[in-house]
Amino acid sequence: MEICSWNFPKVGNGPTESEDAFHYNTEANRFAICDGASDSIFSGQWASVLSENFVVKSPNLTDSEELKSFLDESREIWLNKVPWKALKWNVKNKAVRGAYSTFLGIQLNDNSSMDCFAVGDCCLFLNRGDSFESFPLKEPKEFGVHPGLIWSGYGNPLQNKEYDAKVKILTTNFDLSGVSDIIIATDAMSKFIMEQGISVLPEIKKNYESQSYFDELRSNGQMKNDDVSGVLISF
Amino acid sequence: MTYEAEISRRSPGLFIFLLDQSRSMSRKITGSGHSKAMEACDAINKQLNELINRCTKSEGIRPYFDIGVIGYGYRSGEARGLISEKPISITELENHILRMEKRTEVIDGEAIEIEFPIWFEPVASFDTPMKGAFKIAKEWVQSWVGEHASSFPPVIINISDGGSTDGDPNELAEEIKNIETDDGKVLIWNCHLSEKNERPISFPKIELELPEDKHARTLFEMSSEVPDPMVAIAKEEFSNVENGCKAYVFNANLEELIKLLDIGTRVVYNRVE
Repeated sequence: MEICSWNFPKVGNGPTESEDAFHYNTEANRFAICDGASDSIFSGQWASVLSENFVVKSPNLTDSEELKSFLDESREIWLNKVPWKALKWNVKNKAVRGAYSTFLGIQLNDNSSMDCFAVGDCCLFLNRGDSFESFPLKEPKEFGVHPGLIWSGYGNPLQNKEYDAKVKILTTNFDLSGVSDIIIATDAMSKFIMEQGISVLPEIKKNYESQSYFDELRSNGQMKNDDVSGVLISF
Repeated sequence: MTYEAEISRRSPGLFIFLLDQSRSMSRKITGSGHSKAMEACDAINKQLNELINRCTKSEGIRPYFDIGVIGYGYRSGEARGLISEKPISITELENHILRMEKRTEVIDGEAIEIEFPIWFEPVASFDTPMKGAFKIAKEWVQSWVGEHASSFPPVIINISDGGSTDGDPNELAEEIKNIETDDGKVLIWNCHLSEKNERPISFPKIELELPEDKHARTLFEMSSEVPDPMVAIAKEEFSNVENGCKAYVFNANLEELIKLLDIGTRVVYNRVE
């Protein structure tokens, strides 16, 4: 298994300002990618916590109890990462409302099948030779402005308020026979892949480390100017 | 297409608020126990706070907007910048805070104390030199557009309860509305406050929708047509909004004032990157 990954901020933003995050754990065969919502703050941190906690703790998200534990733990980690007492008035006023992020996690089962969990518009693509199969979105027109999101719950001073995330996770399972590559990506990248089709894969493999490649795509309008990130798994 | 430029740190937007500070603003606004001056002042302070909120990231405030506030009538025949002598970046607004108030905000049924900044206090003093205010606004807009030729065009929101006392501002308003960036012409929104308990007229399309009121006709004429990309957003609050309507509310009570300000700013910050 060969893994390539990339995460570049939107054109005009600084190198640390991407609110996308991904993590993977090859021992557990788990990969996750999340896109922190820019309407909220500390959402990049929330995206990072969700993706990391998924690959490290290996929760079974189809089990409601494990899902709840996963969210509770993630929330606790996020709360501890934010320096609540040091926040300025304006940051504090906004941060109390919590952070939001999309989520996509996958679990490979001995490279023969894969379980997938998605909230929002991060997508995965399976290379079956002549075309991509995608999940959870199938067509570029499905990308909208209000994707499903996972909420962190409130921040300080409402951090102890009861937390009910009411997350609606889409789950599916794929047979991996005949699959040579898997890509998981945030929305701008996913829409681009859907629009370009399978023929874009060699280009991505060649350029995934090049910020200028993604900058040009976003500057010439081929890709939305957004944070762009993805993980490419090749067998 | 126009009014579709993305607002970013390299290409910010500009809001200019014009606030009537004439004596008649001391009367109570419909829908509130407070004066028009107090409610209008509070509404603009809230909008500035909301704009800061929109621009706030975990590392601080991003310079997506420049802001200017002009008060007119605080002294006979005079208009002036209230927060600063010219528009400033939203990142500088916190350096101009007059004082901080503790306010209670209810979130999901829980009351929490927040810090609320006040940039200026209510004033209701003399006459209504609206023309003088628009003259300053024109200078600000001309200068700003010269430096931001490809930006989303400036939006001027004027809050008043009456007619200009220093001449007809209409010609000046026309000149301002003809100033443009590559993305469209400058927009003027007018909010005509009321102290009467009468039905407001919001986003009228034709003059015939207005009552016999010469000040209403003047402000109607001065107001920009709401650009098509903004109509959908205005419709969320005002169901009667149609393509071709004017950015004007006549006989606005407190609720209408807040809605107009909210729409006027929301249509712009929806363009933030």
